Amino acid sequence: MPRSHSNARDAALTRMRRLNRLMIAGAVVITGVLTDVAAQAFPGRTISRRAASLAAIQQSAALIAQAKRQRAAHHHAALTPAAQAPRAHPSPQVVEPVAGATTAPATTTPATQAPATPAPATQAPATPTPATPTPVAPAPTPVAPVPVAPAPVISGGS
Amino acid sequence: MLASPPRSTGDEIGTVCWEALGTTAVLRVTPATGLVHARSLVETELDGIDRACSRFRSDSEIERVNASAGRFVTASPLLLEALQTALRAAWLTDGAVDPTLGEAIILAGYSRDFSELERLPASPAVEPDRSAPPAVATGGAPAPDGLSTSPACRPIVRARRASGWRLIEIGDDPPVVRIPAGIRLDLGATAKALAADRAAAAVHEATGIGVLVSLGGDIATAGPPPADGWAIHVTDDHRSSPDAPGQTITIASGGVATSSTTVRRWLQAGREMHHILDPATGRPVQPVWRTASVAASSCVDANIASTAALVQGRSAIAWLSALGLPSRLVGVTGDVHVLAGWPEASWSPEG
Repeated sequence: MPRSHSNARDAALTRMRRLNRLMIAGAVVITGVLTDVAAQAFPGRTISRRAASLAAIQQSAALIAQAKRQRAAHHHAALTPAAQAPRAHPSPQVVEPVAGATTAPATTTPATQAPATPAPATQAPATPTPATPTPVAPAPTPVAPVPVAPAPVISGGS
Repeated sequence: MLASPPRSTGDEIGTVCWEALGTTAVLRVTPATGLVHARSLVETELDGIDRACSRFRSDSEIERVNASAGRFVTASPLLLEALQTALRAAWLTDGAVDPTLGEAIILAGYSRDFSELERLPASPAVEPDRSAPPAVATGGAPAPDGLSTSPACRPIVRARRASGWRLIEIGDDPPVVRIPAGIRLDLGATAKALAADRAAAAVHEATGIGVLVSLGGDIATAGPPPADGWAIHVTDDHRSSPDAPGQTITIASGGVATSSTTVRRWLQAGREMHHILDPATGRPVQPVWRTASVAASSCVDANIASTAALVQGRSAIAWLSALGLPSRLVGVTGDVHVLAGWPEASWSPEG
């Protein structure tokens, strides 16, 4: 092989060696830069940069582990029906008329408590009105209040 | 099947109603002599739920959790119970009842107490306007699903991406909760039912009497029922009168809940909205059923099932039947389906 060719080959190998070293160094630098960029992009994950104490980190990890156990534990109770299925009400049109209004808030939302006994407005008339005048007014006869079932509670959208 | 509970022999039933949790509370007890004490117990329970779970109170625990998204926050046992109830609902319904739709419901315009919104009257036949162009927003082009991509809709898309009940973390020793950043909790669907269950149980445990607690139509019972059972009229709107179209039933125990798209409706940028959101879209559900009523072993279970039924649409029939939950579904046209032992109605005109 002529000497000039040998020199040219050696020079080319030297350049390739330098190029390789540059590429390796560049790759290391780029890797480091990209790692730092990623760490900055997700600061919530870089716990060590927050100067958190080891105890705090351990506590956080314990909380997460405990929370995961908790999540797994409370998901097993299925929806269950009542002991007895609902039944049709014997009189589906039971209505408890309340004077002056037709909607629940107005009729069933007194600021004070409702009476323990059925409201007078819902009871049968205690004293029937005489149809015709009579010469001598009869003494009012006390009539026992007729028990009236309370109006059903409303279940509707809210 | 469990044995039926003993029936109350008392003839008197006491009832009291008042406003609580932004809706109507009804307390019914038998015998009536326990009414005063019972009301005080119920009010204590409702106050606790309100302090823990109300998203309309800046000092509530849930608002503190929402404001601390991404961090563990200490929580009261009551809030933990409410969160566990909400997560159980999400789990059992495969996310149809999702407690992380707080941002979506706010973006839909339900950001204040309902009494302060531009309300629409309850309307059984009206569906939310999802196809018409928005009355206010301009520049929107129809999307492939028929929904407008107007500016008013875009935030809801963001909210849909942010929903994620599976990412909530709860610990009970110490009691802590952490929600991911970008998520807001709204426990409205299940917290009210939980309050009814807890209130009824508290009254019965303290007094031994039979009790029914209704919060906006979500009904819980405990203790011995009246001789004929607790009479309940299911209909579209809990504010209706007992002769409103619907059906009257009796229950001896457990709870009944009704969800409906015909109530709690409002206008947002000229569009009709309602409060039952589809977690898959972040928008009000396109109703197959306008009203769903379910009876279950508790008010919470009934509420979960009735809410999920509205979201699931037609598939709710198979789902509820498989669970064996007595249910009554009313379609948007008034057609009534009764399932799993719900009694047939002798009459049920649905307007």
